[in-house]
Amino acid sequence: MKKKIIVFFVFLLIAVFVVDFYNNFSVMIAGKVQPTDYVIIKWGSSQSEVGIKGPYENSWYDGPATFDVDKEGNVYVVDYMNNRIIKVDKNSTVVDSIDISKITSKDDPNAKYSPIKLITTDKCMFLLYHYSFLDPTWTATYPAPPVIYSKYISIVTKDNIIKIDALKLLGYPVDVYMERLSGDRVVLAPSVPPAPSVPPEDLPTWKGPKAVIVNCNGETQSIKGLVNGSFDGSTPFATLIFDEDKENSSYLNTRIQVKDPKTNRVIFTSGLIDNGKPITYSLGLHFDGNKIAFIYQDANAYNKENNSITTHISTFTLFPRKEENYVMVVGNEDRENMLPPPFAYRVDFVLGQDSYFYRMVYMTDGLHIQRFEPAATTTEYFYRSHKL
Amino acid sequence: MFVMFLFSLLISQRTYAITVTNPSPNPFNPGSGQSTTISFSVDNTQYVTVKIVNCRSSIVNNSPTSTEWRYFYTNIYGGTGAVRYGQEIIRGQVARIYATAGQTYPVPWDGTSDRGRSDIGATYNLCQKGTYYFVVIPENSPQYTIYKPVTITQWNSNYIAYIRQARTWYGAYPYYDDESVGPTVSRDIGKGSNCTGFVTSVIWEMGYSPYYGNFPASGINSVSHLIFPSNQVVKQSYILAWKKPSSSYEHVTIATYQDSYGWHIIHSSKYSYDHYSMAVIEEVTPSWYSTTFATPSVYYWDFIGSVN
Repeated sequence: MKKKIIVFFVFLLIAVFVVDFYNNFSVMIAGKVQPTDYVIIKWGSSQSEVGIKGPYENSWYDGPATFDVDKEGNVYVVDYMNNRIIKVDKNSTVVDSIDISKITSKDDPNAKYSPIKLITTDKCMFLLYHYSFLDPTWTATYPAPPVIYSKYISIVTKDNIIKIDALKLLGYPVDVYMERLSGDRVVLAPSVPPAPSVPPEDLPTWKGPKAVIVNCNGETQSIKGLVNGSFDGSTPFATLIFDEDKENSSYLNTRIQVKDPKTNRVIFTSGLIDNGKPITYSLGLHFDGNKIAFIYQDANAYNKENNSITTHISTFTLFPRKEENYVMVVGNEDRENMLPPPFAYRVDFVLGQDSYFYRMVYMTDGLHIQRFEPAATTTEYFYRSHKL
Repeated sequence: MFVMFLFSLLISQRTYAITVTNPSPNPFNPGSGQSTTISFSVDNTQYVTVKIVNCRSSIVNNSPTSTEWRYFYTNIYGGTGAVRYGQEIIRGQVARIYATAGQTYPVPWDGTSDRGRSDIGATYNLCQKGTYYFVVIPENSPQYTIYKPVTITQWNSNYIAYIRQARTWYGAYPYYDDESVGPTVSRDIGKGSNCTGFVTSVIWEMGYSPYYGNFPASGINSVSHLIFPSNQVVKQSYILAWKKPSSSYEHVTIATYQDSYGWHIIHSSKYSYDHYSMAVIEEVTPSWYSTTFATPSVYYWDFIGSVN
């Protein structure tokens, strides 16, 4: 009997070790990797091209707004100048096009829109955008008619466009973000100034929902509270864990953490990003349920001597564990053929559904969708506990 | 006959008579919950509307219909420049009262504006330092409108107040870059602002005299030796000047707050006017600029004001 018990515990120990090792064994890929061209679409207004106008103010150009990439690696670009979303395959061929001109209603005087972010799913596409028009009830000449403005989400299919006022849904926060959920849904989350960083008299008393889930039918579900950090109780979300350096307004000892929404158990913790050095500028944290991409800059991002800008992109795959670190350097040579897009926020870094990280850039010969690929890098294998 | 003429003259004078007391207290501090009150009475029963504006008008070209006046600044050459500052209707209607002849009606104003992001529940719509005017309009005889000035004391000069003041410009339009007649900024009279007109006017509205006023963004190059290009650390309320490496500055914004998506900025741009019909908006910093342009030069708004 004793022998059986001992054997049982030995097997138990081995099983625990195997499970723990599987969960924590990581492949780390690191190196100075620039993004490489994945798809190039020429400028123009024909079916196979993408629209651009400019330069304005002797500088910037107005053109494609944002994009997404599906599981097969097809790229969907919001061709803003031509009021359409185009589908582009891996060979840079435009294979489909959806008219989105109906986003602006004829009933809204002088209506305008400007896309921010696109999320494609198997059943529909979700487009977040600015929308404004002049108050049609205004009759006075002074002051000027007020602009009615909000951020809208449109659910776009081949045959239909459903429009929803996103800011109104959320109770008019300062800004609104859209993220992908499982099951052909997205979540709209409010952005308000973080409470600790503003004095008490400016703490927002806004009591809107924590988020609103939207599906392809345009049905909405208001979320009053997060479930273990998750909006829907099933889709996990990644969060930044850091020590705040208030003096220098930067993050120290930064890690990324993911919790299991059902158990609240930590299922992933990254190592110290950039060895815990100060991160002065976060440019976004992306997570698709299995892969995380974090873009950031440190205090040395701008190199005055060679006029270069350095941006770091760290990606983490949960299963199987993999860590990739890219360093994107943009210097004078790179800028020679670039066309500046406008001073307006649109999502031009995307974590595709094929788990690659992409970037959109205007070049003189067309729109380039570039991909971060772990080629010609150093690879290491290591064991790291994901418990802090 | 002559007596009847005098009598009719008396009647006609009484028809238009309106008396308005000076605001009390004056000055006042809305930041501590104070309000100020005027009282009016009319000799002829009628509707009376009271609104608040931020200037009396006619300062620029002496026209009774002008709605522009000036504020002054030290320009990049060390001389004095002026910005044409458009009259703003702070409160379109503080009160509209059917006033009975001979009775006195008090009208308080708590220092709030119709502008600002009061929609998110924060107190972003309290007016900052400066002189404002009660405008008391007898509706049957608006030509006898009376202006009564009142001063708001500086009630909050910290960094968040600057952001709050910037947010009172939210939605202002158009984007106005024509400086052929001198820099002009406004929220209400259809003159709008360019990016630097917006940033420096917020400094002025905070009660400071901007050192280099309404320069175009590219003018920062000329004054870089005069001001503090601090380290590159971004904090709330800092003015961020954007340039391409080896090139001129092109744009000026105000940092409002940071979250995991990046720093949020409030700024006036031609793009936002062309595409949202609003020159001044608050949004996340475009990532393209962060990854391709030089790290923005950082300036302290209160230094730009206080150096004068």
